[in-house]
Amino acid sequence: MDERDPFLNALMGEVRMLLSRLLDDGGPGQIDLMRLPMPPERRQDLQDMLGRGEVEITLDAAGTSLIRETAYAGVWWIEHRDRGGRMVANLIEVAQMPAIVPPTDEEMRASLAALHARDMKEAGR
Amino acid sequence: MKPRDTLGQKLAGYGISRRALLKFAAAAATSLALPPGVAPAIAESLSGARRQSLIWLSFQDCTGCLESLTRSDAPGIERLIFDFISLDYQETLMAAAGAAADETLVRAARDNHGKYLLAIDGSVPTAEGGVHSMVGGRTNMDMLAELAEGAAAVLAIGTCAAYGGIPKAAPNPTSAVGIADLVKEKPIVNIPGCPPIPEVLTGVLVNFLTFGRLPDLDDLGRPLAYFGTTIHDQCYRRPYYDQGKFAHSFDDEGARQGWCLFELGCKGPTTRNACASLKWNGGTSFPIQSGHGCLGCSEPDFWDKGSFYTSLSGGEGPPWDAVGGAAAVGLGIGGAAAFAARRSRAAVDRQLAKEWQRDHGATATSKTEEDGP
Repeated sequence: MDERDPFLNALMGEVRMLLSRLLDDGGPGQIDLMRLPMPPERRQDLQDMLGRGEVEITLDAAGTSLIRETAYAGVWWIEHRDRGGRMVANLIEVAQMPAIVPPTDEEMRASLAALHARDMKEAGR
Repeated sequence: MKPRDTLGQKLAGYGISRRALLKFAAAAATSLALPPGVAPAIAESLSGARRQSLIWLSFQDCTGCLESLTRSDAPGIERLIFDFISLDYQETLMAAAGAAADETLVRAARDNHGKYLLAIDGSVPTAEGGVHSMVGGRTNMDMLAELAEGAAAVLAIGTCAAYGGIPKAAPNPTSAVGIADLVKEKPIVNIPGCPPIPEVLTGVLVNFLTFGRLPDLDDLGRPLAYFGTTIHDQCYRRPYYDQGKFAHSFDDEGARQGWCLFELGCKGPTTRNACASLKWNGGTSFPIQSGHGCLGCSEPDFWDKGSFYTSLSGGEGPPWDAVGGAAAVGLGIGGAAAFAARRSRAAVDRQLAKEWQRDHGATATSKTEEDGP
């Protein structure tokens, strides 16, 4: 890990700013790592700096995504991959929970309707 | 599908979830250099949009552009774009032929008049009334004039459609031109490349569907998000250029060390494209990463700017023995090509000066003309 990399130190400063803002007004923030000059070594250094937390989520939607809490609560490392395994987005998301994870009310209402329908079908047997 | 269904309803019917759409939107935001926070807005816009009618014509082309955009070793997430559009006419892909195909084109243009996007790959031959390329007895020139009139915008896909490309190369026997030379009354987006990068077309379509307009363009009509910087500026070998470390042949120590390919004729410094960031074949590599210099294929008249192996600074590029095997096979052809390459050296200088002026403003004109790039 190279603590002297000024680029990574600046990036960590942005993470700190986003986390502070999250606590102030609840607004989430994202950093798009694929649009930054991030050769593999620097990317690995950043991952090492952020560390690993207790939560790791695998999302299976049009390919596999890795959503991992870092050692800093509220700071998430996200890798979206397509079905071929190619990374299509690499983000740091600063939020209580990344927006892509929780189901929406609409989705839960659809689930409730499906469960009702299932009960009706079972009752009819 | 009912014609009035939204994309969200259609995607749900195909089992494409909100989360998959959010992933696509995140990838699109990255691709378009938009802030990642706009991804949910992109997903919402796409899910509420109607399918966009797209009419695709192939003119004087090799079909390489279509191959690039439709072939993939794995179904990448960018392929979701094919669920967002209604490809109403494409001769190579469609099942219909002959009169049935003609009727499909007429119907698509009539039903979506003023709304459809017109995509074109291939240049337009203009010599002798355009008879050098005809479809169903009609010249490309006639088809373009008629269909551009009813289009919301025109997408010139590939260097041939954008600037004339290979068919326009000297001596240009068919007087081939790019779309913008003939279509003056409609917005045009050039997506050059030989072939173009598939993600760029995806990004342009997402931009149009999400924001209802075409992306910002550079002075050559290319989307700035993808053509805003040179290959050289994004190249992972750039530090070696800055350090003065160059490969001098394709098999010397510099080549083995992965040093800069400038002296082997790499056109990265004067070529704007996203190859170094988006790469090719599922993000696997791009020409420079594979050990060959950039050919500059997304720039106008790239075929006529001298040898691909002559350096931009005026050196003779790699030792000709490195490529001499091929040259020796056809001495006559090779000799003519070599002569043409040297004669085109002035054209390279002019192009460099033009690029330099574009990047540094008109005030630099006199210096450039006096001192060279």
